Amino acid sequence: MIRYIFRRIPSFVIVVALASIVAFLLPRLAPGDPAVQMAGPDATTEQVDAIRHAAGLDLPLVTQYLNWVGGIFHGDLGTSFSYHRPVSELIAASMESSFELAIFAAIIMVVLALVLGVLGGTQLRKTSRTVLDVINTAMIAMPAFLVGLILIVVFGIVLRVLPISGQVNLSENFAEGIKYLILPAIALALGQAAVIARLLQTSMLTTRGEEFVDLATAKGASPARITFRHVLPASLNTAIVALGLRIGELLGGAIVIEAIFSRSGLGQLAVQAVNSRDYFLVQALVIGAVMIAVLSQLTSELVTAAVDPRVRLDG
Amino acid sequence: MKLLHSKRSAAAVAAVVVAGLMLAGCTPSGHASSASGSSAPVRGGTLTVGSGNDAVPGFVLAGNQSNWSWERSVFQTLASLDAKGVPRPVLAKSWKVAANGLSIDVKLRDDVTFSTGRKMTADDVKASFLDTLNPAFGSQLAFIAKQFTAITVQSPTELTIDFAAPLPNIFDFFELTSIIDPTTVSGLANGSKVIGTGPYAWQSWTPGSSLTLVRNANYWGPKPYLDKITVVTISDPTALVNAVRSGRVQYAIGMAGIDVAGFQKDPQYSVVQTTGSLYPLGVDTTAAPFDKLAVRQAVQYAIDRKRIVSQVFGGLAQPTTQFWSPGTPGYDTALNDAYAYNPAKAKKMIADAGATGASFTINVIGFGSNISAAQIVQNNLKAVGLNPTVNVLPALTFIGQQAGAKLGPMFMPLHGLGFGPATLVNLVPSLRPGNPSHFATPEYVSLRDVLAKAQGSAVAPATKALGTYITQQAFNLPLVYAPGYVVTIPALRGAKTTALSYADFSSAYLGK
Repeated sequence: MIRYIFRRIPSFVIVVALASIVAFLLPRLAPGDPAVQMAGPDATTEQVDAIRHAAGLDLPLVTQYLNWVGGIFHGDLGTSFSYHRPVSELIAASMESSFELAIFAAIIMVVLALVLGVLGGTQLRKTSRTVLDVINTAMIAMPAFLVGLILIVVFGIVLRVLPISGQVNLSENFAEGIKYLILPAIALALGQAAVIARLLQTSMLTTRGEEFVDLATAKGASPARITFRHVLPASLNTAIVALGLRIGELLGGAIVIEAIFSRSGLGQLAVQAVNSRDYFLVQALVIGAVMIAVLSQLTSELVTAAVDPRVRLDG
Repeated sequence: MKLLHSKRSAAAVAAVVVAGLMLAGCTPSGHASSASGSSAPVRGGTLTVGSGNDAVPGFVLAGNQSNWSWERSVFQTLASLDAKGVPRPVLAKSWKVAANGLSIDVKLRDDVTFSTGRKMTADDVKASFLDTLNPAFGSQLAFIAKQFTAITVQSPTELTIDFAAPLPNIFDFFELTSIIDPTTVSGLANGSKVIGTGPYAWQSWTPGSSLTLVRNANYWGPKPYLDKITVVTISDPTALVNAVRSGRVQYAIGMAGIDVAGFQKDPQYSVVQTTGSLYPLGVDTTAAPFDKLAVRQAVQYAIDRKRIVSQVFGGLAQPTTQFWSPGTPGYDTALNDAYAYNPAKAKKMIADAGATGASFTINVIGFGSNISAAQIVQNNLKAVGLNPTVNVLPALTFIGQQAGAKLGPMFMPLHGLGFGPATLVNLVPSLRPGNPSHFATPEYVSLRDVLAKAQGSAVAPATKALGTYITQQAFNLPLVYAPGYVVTIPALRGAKTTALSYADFSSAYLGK
């Protein structure tokens, strides 16, 4: 497994290097000028030019790119045009919120996916399966923002039992922080859990047709033992890969859910950065998202190998 | 002056944006106040303010909508314009304009301190005024400071400002320009040191998230009631509404008109009107077909302003053709009907001018209300024989092109109402020299200069004359005026809004 990880390093480096070029060019290809943002809406052309020069935005693109990459190797991600603070400081300030939400949502997602997936992958009566399918389909069909708005109206405005706006970091007040996480995490997790559950369900139903399951049945194994000891482990591969990708997305920032629950996470930071053409901030967030995606994929491969003995990473 | 206004779509993005800047002018609704009931003021408590835009402390010398929620709690100015546009002393004690109008002597209060405890002096005022000339601070009124030939500190509490020419709009400058602590000015942009003389002190700021102000222990004036003010940034319009309805926020700034309407009839909330925005339609007068006056006027006859008011603003706006606030001396109500909707007349004028079928692009700043209004404008113009195409530009792109006067044949910007007309004509991009209409006839320049120098009783006729000329030339005319709104809870008492739409919590308290 160690050899496998080392073998992946070159591709990891290449992906990040290419991502850095894309991250650098992307915000510059979009219309809009950060100097205009910095100068304010009533600024004259002369004021904008003066600010553009002071920020080094009139340097050749290659020079700007090399300066940025050189800074990264020295631990300097640059300074935000909008906030005049180090980009690393801004990201660190938003990271806890996003990570807490991602982890909490991931826990809900895993639990729900397993429950629904295993239930769906079990032999059920027709009525039970219909009910399960309806629930699963409804969860898949409802976008996260809609779930979020329904939760806000019901639990935040009508019943007023849970906070629907803002955040308290768990490091500051764990109990209070959990209250602020419940609704956005559920909104994020429901749809994702249903998708993974459907994958798991399909995989389990397929696995049940395998000969080793028939053998276990013939040996008198109980249905529960067959499900959890034989069918489930052999059916998890696809779900784990999907789970890894979903968690990677969550860690990158849940833009819509953060917005409607007024949480200040990486997603909202990215939105602000894009809208104010805050180049260094956008670049760092894009690179970060790419790295998280790559690491998530790698992790899911390792977990798959650990769970399923048929998978051999070093082979 | 706010020249950009964050609306629903902007926030959706961006965010947006950022936002925008907005300085407002003196309107009858200026100095709006929340409920002032009879209950005795209550000391203590934390007020949570919701704002669609994050603070921009580096722009405290500019007019900036992002700072409406907190700036007047931390920073003060020499004077403040009252509801009638009359300057009232704040940090200044008195002033005297020279008989020839070429200088002003200002006496400062001798008891003012910054939140650090250091006494404010005339040198601090001078430094703040000079900082407005630095582009990094983004002051829209730098053009006024450029008219200062000298700022002479006579004593720690006295200074004299000499002008190159009479400056009747000097009090607009006083109203806008916050007095900052020059020893900590380098900490403004990143929010590490934000030191002012106001009733509350800047305690902490998490960019994009929240800002905390606490009672200024060194405040020179009456002790404020609240212990703390927390300003939370909520860029999503729906989230801002929900934050108010769930009780998290007690004072919301920057809510879209359509959302405000939902609070207006609800007794659990108070809606306070503040100075609003103008939605103009401009054309490039140097290119066909809008180089012809008849076509420009026909365009104005073709626009159904009342439909825009009704369909875009839900009735919370009014048709207008003037760049000044209703109630401004010289504001001519009759001008608002100068181009009453008359598509038949417009169609004939366009045909007579040989412009039927002319194709052109309408560049629109990418905010929700503007985009919706542009659809109506496009529809109206097609109905009279023109062939426009709407092109929505991101706010930053639009502003950049506006600064360079490159907005194309037709455009729809967004302007805040600002100060007095004398300031506006040199400030509003649609009117100032180098405007995107490229309109600079000798008569226009002359009328603008007369207004810029008008004082006292001469202001009203000069304003009316210029307004009449602008309306007649139709190179750029507002379609509607939409007031701004603040949503509060009735328990919040004593909160005020300045003439420039900044929140004033110096006397605010949370009652029962």
